Amino acid sequence: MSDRVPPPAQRRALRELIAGDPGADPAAHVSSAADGAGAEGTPARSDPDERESDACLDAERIEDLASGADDPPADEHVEACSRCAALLEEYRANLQVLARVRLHDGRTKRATPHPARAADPRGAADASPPDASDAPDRIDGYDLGPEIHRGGQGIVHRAVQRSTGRVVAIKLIAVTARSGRRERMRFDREVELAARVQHPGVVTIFDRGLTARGRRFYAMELVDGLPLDRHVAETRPTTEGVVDLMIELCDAVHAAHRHGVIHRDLKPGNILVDRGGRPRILDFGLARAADRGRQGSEEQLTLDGEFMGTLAFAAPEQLAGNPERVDLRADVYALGVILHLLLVDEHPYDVDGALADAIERILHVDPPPPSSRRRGIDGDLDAIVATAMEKRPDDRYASVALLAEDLRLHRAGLPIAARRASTLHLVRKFARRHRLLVSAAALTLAALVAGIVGTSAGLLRAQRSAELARGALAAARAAELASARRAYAASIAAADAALRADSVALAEAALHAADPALRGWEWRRLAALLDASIAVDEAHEDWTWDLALDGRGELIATAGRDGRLFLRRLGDATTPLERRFTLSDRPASPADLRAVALGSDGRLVAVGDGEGFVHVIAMEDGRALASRRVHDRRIQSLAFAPSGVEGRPLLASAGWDGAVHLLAARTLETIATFEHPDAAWGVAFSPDGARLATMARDCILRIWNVAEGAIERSWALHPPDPEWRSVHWLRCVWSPCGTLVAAGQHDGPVRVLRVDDGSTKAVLLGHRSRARALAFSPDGRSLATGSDDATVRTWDLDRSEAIAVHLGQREEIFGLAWNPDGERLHAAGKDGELRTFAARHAGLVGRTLQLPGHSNQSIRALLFAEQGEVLFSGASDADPSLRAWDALDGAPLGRFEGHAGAVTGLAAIGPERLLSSGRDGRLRHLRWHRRADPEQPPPAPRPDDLGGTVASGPPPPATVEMTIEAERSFETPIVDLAVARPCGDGEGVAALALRGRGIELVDPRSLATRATIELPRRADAPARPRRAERVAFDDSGRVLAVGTADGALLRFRSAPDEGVARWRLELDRPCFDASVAALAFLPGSSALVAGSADGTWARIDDRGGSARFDGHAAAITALTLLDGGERVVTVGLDRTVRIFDRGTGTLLRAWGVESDWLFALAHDPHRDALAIGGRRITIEAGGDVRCVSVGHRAPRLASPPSAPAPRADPSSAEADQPH
Amino acid sequence: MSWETTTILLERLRAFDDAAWRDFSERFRTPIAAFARRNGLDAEAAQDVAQEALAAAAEGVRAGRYERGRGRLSAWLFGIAWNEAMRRRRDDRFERQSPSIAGRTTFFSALPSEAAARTAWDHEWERFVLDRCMSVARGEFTDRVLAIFDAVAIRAVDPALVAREFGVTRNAVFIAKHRVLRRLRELRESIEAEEAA
Repeated sequence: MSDRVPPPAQRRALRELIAGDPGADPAAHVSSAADGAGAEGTPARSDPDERESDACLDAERIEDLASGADDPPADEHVEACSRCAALLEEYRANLQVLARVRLHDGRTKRATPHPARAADPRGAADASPPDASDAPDRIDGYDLGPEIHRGGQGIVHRAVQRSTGRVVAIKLIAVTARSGRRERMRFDREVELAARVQHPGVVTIFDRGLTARGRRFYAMELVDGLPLDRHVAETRPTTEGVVDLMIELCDAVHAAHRHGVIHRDLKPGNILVDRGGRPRILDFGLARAADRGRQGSEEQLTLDGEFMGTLAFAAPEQLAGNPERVDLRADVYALGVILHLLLVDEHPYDVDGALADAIERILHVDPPPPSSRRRGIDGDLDAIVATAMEKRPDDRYASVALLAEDLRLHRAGLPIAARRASTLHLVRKFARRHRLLVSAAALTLAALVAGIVGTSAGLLRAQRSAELARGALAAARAAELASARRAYAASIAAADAALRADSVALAEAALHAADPALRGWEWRRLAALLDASIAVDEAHEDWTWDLALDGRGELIATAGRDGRLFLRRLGDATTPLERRFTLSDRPASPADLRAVALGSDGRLVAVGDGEGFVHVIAMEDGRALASRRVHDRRIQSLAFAPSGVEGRPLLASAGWDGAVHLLAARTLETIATFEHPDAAWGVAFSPDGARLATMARDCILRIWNVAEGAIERSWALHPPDPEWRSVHWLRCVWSPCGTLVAAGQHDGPVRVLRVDDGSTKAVLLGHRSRARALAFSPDGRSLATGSDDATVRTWDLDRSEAIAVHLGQREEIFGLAWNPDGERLHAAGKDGELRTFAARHAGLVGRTLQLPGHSNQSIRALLFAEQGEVLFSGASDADPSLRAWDALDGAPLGRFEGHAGAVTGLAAIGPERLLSSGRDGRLRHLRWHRRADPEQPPPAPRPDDLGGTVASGPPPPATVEMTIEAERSFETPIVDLAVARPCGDGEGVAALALRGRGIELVDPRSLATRATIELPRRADAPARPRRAERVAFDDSGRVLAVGTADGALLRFRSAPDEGVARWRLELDRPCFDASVAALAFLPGSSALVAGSADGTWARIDDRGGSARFDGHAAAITALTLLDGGERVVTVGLDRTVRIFDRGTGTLLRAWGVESDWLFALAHDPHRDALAIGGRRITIEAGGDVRCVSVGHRAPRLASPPSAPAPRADPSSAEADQPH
Repeated sequence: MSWETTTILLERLRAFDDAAWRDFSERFRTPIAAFARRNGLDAEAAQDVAQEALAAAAEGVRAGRYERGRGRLSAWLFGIAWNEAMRRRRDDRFERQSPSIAGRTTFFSALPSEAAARTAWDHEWERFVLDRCMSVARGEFTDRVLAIFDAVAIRAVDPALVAREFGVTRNAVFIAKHRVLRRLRELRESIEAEEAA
């Protein structure tokens, strides 16, 4: 940044920074007018001595004094100046705080010396000259051990951190004659950049500081392993093993790049392979920040023309000595060299000879393909090495991720991207470099052979062309697939973001754009969330202007722009369509029906049209009782009076002519008129019928005394909008108790007002646009609002907060009605559809259920049973009970005695039978039975203590009974449980991971031991028993996977003729840096997926090949597979649920379900539902499962009839028309 | 930006305020989990310990077992966290019994003493307090002032470079640095005073 004239915002900031208030800020007295001038754009002054003429010391000198600098004139001034003396004291205290802050801040660079102190031997420790000896030093908090490595920049010691006993590696800055500021800055940068990268493949930095002698040091993880080349030499991996190693290495380097760090010195000596077989990058001494803004002082660390790196692994552009030209593709080059070296055990170039020759070869000689030096190497690997080692960075892989992708494609046997480019490029490059030779040779060759091999050449060319075309096609397909996956992930992310913003239309568009071939659970889940209604029905072909419900909740009426009135009976699927009217004398161009009202006794329905007509129809026979034009312009609202006069029902109508008429409902005779200065939009009767609320275009809400025709009270809700002419309107509603009225404002808020004193009860903020549709709940405690933003919201009026946001309508909502039971809301609007929502749930019932869980304890195990209708759960130590839930509506079905410790496993072993295991070492075979209780009322929804709603109130009596069929105790905790699938008839086996005792296989019913499996010791740690953390069976029950605490995956197989007595180890593969936390086999395969406490997950194929992917920011705790194993779902301590594409590891969706750790997952394939266990249990359904709704008894609106509903033809409509 | 005092938070916790548990656990989870990690537990176990310790502490507050007059909150929380961490280690004794291997990381072989644990706790608590101070201070200064502070105080970038980068005088850089530091100091003192009250 070099702007000398800061923009206005910066100037404001600078004024705050510099001008200040001298009276208020003691520091300000040192900032003179000169600073203000600097703030206004003059170049910053760098010479502190300019302040000598000022009366007081500047801040820098005071800080120098506070830091112990020797400055006699300043000391003298301070003695004479009380303000500077006070500042000095303050600065000293500040610097003490700063020391503490720096101690705890991982980014802190301790050492950049202050210029003023750099030359001052009595300055801060940072600036003190380094100790010229390598004599043993002392570091607070550590016991320094022997030296284990010495390099150009530093010396590495083994050390023990006293507070924890942890063995670490400590790197001390090298002390040489050349040690200077540049070296110290470089050391600081190394720490800063290494600490930036958090990845299992990069060593972790723990601490940094100064030794007792003032030397810089940092403490890092001590990796117990061998340098990469020695590891390969000793273990002699196969080519596939080398490729797997390189993939992991590439992932680590890519992680560094993602954190903006270019290593610039990748070589086998800087890569240790730990005992788990994972490469770990260390030594970021030459690393550089990729972004210029953070790079900072690169020019200070590198002299022009200075070479940075190791020659044998340096990219051509590094030899130029211009660090600005070196980017992450230098690391790609180095990885290419390393891959070549590992494949053939030889460096691609001879770099041992004269330096000039070595440089010449690196700059100009193409490396020989690995296959030319060792047999059996695939041409793909030649192409990958060649592409990674291209001379021009532009010709290389653009990123390490692309290199890794090609290696993965190669491992998977798929066409690689580099192949085509490499082949053509080699030819092109040769021709370019040897143009004359090639031309001459080509001419000669052509002359010699043209006549001889014409036909053969043509054939060869054709074959070659076909081969190239096939390669190109395959590469194009792979690239296309990768691109399609990225595009798909982007569509999912866009849809997710749109849904979070309650924008259904945008989310729908994003989902529509997602490639149908790639759609999985995450797509179905988001698609389901687009519509949270529990029922949907087509209402009108065009806009539905209004909606009304009778007092008993049996009939619903809708009026539409298509000129039709629909009457439906609710809750009766057999008669979905009650009546359909066309109320116009112009059937070909019917007037739109703008308002509808139902009499409270259900006998009359009134409808108002766009030309000012009101039509009244008798419900019992559909006869039109009256039709009259009561307004000069269109009618906007109608309302029946709750009680009539002398048995005569009354009706009020509001019209754009400014009048509100009180009409005799059967004759439409005008009884009274309430005039408004502008168009009348809304009208509503008070519950006692004595008062009317009206809303008009002058934006005044008025309360009229019906008997006297006088205004009792009015509110100017907001300034009228002069632009409003014919498009917009708002309505008003009266609460059931008669004390409140509510109306929307054109700018979005909804105001709820007390009629008695005119005060405001609530202002409801949340809609992004005006709320035209309003309805009080039957108990008057809630208000539902439907807005032009296409959402329906339910509000708690006491708290002025939205209880629920209901998504589903695609366009503006014009009509809303609350069922008398208070459970359901009906909404209709511009999209022509009538939707019913569960009113008080968080908008997603049927797609999301929140179960209250176990006394606020972490859920540790979940199990779906009975085709997904019952869910069992077990929790942590504090509440180890077993609980059963109705998975369809969330009702608790039973609570049973559990374990004395955390429940660690639940598994079905047949119909109405399950196994449970606990940390208390108990294993139980339980038999359960669901007792039918159709009369049991569904639990009432209630808000919970985590800010959401739960589907159950106080738990009703249990309807699941459970008995213990068998029980067995082990001496050690059972940490995991798995059951081989074919066990319904008593066959099969259950595997228990016993802490400290390997695996025990038991009969799932009698619990008798059938076999034990002792885990093999690790070759490098034969004295240490391995600990099983997770177990899983494949579909056949013949393959058992075990995940261990040291991050390894073991796979055992039993021969079909040997039963479960003998299990042979067929795989023992280190996979993770921390314990295995979750395991799952792919359906019908012995390939599996595992997640780890180190936050990564991996897939392991049938042959043991593996690929590992970044997963969570914290430990993964559970994992399951969806869509036939194509999707991997994980939960973790970062409180998120994540879905990955198994093939590529691409993160497709991440979301949080509550603000706590998540420990358990279960998938119900019957309903495509996912149960997630945290403090509560969340069930999220993937597909369109409208059937699971608000309770057993919730009536459903029927779907539209399969055959199109009969449209009222003109002749039949005549009978319905008023005369 | 301001923060709710611990006194008020504990009062809410006592009153079973719905959000109090969440606020309480959010506030104190980090130092307890970090402390558990320092005591040799892995990430998952450390989170477990934090959860159990927080639940025990909340229960203790509600049951009146914590009295401000009898000691600092940090000391009381230390006791709970230490007990939970040790309980967890006892529970996981099978893991801890693996012998130490010469030349390898023997992470679990050296159980920290209570004195060492207290030192570790004090370290984590100080980090927690400073983080709180820093988060409050971040809401009180402009991004620019914070950026200058970050550069010159935290990253120790040469003040001349910072001044040039931000187009201000060196003096302004130092004033910005000490304004933020002074605020941090005030906040830290107020938290400590609140703790001691």
